[in-house]
Amino acid sequence: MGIDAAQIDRRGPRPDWRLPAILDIRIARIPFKAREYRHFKSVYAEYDEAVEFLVRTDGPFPIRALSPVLYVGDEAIVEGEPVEKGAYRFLAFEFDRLEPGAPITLGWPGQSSKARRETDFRYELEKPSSKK
Amino acid sequence: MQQREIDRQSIDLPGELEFLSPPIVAQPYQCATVVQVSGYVSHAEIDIEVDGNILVTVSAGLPLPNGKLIELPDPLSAGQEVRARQRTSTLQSPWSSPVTVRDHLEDYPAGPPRPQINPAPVYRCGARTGVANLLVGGNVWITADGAERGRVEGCNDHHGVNVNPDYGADEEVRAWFEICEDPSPPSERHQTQDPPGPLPTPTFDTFYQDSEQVTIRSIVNGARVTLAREGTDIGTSRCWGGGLRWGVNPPCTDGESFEATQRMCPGDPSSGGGSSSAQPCSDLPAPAVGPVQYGDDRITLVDFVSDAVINVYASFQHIGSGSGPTVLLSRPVAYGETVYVEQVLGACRSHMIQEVTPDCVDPPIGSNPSGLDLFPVGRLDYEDGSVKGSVYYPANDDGEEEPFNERLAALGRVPIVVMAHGNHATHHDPNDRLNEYAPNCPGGVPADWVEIPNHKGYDYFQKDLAKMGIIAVSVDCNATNGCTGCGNSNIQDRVELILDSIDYFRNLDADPSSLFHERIDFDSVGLMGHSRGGNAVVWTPELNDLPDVNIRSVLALAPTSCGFSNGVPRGYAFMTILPAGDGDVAYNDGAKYYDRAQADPFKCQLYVHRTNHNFFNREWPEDDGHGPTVMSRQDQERILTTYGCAFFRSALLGHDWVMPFLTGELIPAGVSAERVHLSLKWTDATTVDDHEDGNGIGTNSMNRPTSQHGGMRADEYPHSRASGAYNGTFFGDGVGMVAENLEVNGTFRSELSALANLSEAQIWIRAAEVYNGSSVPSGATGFDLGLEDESGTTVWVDVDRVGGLPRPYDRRADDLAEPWPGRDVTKSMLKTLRFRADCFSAADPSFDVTRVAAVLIRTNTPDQRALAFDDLQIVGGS
Repeated sequence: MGIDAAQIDRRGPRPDWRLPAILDIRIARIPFKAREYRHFKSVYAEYDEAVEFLVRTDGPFPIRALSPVLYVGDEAIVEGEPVEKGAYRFLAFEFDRLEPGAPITLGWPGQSSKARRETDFRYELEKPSSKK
Repeated sequence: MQQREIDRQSIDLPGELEFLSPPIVAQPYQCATVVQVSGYVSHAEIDIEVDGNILVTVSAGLPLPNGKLIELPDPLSAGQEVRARQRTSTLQSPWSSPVTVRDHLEDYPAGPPRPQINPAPVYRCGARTGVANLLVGGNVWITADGAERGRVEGCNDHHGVNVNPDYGADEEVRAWFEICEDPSPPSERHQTQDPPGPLPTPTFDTFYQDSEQVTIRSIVNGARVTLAREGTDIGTSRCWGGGLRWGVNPPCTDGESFEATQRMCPGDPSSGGGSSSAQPCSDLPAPAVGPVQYGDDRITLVDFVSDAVINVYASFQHIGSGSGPTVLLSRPVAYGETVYVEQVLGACRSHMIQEVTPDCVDPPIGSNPSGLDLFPVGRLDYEDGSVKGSVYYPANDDGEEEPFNERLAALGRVPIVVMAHGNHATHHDPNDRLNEYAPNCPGGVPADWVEIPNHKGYDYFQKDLAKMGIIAVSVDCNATNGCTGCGNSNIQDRVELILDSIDYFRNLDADPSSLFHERIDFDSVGLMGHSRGGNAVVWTPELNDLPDVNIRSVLALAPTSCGFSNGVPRGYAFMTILPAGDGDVAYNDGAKYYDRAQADPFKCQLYVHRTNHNFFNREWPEDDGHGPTVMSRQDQERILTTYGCAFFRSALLGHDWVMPFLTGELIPAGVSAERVHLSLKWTDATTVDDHEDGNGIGTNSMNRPTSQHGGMRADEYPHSRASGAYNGTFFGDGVGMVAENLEVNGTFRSELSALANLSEAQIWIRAAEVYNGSSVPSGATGFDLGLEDESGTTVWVDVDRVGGLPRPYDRRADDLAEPWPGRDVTKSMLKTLRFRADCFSAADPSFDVTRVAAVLIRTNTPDQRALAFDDLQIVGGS
């Protein structure tokens, strides 16, 4: 009988957590109504307005524990959901923390600004955002 | 503990043996007509005494594999006291400590535990089956397709049952047990399988000249084994499988050969013959010893010859003779003394002996807290609109929608644990399990894709909880999964689903037609959440509006903190498990929860090396681990069930005796415990300094002064990623101390508010080597902890004597190479170190442990690495 040669198990492919590029962002102040829960009141129940960032990307966001964060300057906007093919809605509630003209980047929570994915967009409210 | 083999010639051990160790009596139960004795030397004479009367004297034979079952003239009664002693031709042991006979219902109020067929599976033509999880002295029997095929009256805790006739094809085999005419539930069902073919060739453990026992391995479950000695057949024995110990008389001579074969079905070929021969006495090795710590009254062996006499010496005094795996000693091991252990076969003494230097803290290996197997497990999937999940529960028998266990129910309502999975894809390609996505993501998924039951990924943990008497629910949170943002909204959605499921079970509890009718104790609710589920379970108690639902314990497994990021676990027992190689929640957010937790009665953190985020859930296939190769999925699951069961047993079932597994005073068997770095803080312990008072480094939490001397420069820093942190390697959320080690013998002194009697106390301190942010240096660093008494006498104990300072878990290369986190998040992660105060008094008899004035820390290495400290506490004492 022959003798087999060792073949070290290689680690399987890691999850691919690269973020897509942002193709377009539309920013608008919109009426907001928090979801009603049976057991408690939403932390957003007191809000009736939000700033909506409608983001179109060139690919899907990775599905994982953490979710992508839209940064306006260094202000992180974490509330987000898909709305249609290739588009996500991020919602911000603390308007005064959003600095007009601040650059918009996409990253993971806690990422430094240089590690985030840059975009061509800056924060400007209530009109379609313009390219730099 | 340090251990090394040395040549017998290099030391001068006493020639005469002085102390024969008392044997060990297993817990006896009422109605038993046998007692089990172990730990005696081969062929010792054993006396059994019951209530002061010697009832039986027997020659015990060989001590392994299962000790000696000694028959008694009458059944035992609860309250009687049993003890044993052994005698050789030259020595007689003291009596063992008396063991009180118990009514089994004291220990198992819902009836005897269910037997386990062990080893499984069972094979067609099998002739013997091992049954474990038995109470000594009960009766065990085997049925196949409902007909009894073998029985043993007065069994051992793990007993082989011969079956007659041999098993047939496709029979359903179960084991049954009773004691005092009280039946246990039956074992799990096992269907007979075709035996392997060809049968493996048996192998032998190494045996030696003067051995009276050979151990044969690779035996198929239920096989018949034939042994030949020097070519002469000496008999055939049935075997339950795995290994078989076979007594041989006369003892082996040097070079004598044995050959074993095994067979199953008549007409089928036997295995090939496996053979081995006795090795000379000169090859007999030293036995290997398990953990030994100061004050131990016994030695545990982890590798030894089964029929050897084990002799133990300390300070060149003979303090024990017995057999493995446990030898009782004539006195506790003194601090700082060296222990020697040898094994002897007849006239052959091992050439090498084991030299052991016990530590102050080196905990013994105990059982496994997930191993409590009392009840069959029922299960069902539930669904009511958006409220859905699966539940496992203690039942009369295994299976779907089996009735709730009647005997357990008769004792009262049963705790419930509710689990919540985290975010993951909800569907996969039917032809490629690794190709996952979710319908709520852009583009959606094809119609033929299969839904991923993310909530079923913890079924192994649910079953373990159910078999010990806890209802275990796992909530289907797929409605919140996929391309969903991890913010407050998503975590709220998850909390809503968790509360909906609890409410659903409240309704079942109130429904007379439900099998859960009046079965659930909503005053004893536990939660377990993984990832975003871990985030949600920290918030569920805050948002819980359900009347009479009291959440007593929360386990957050690799939790995120992206929703409700300021969560504070409060008012319940809290545990978090942090995978050190977590490639997803790479910042180990649970460390923040641990730091903030105002838990009752304790909080606990497990930082587990070589684990990743995904392998705790069976439905999450990818290895996200950063750093060294992670342990196997099964080993990760074992970490969760072992420590999770200890946690919920303690918090919900009142099993206080499993707490030592969480404090680190016992090591659970069968898990990679060396990779688990525990922190634990009791609410009611005395805090010397937690650095949270805002009073600066110069004053401790007792409002007493601290001082620094020599080559130490210490200050308080955020142990978090906040500005002002010592460096960027802390990921908790509190304030702690960092001590810069400028040179050896620098000290930090923290004065106590009053002289303290620490004779029964321990000093607990969280500590870690601070990661420098660029590389993990080779070799550990350390420190000494000191206690100073009223007269100014200071005694030091090196951290290496209590298990050592934890090292940073080096994940730098992967962190930098991957898009996430894209930066090195190797951490300075503290663990709780326990210093027993009696080690200090033992180290220096002039030290007065009853009047301690201060606790000190001293640098003891020239490497100048910084050290992190927090939560200096006195636990116990007065």
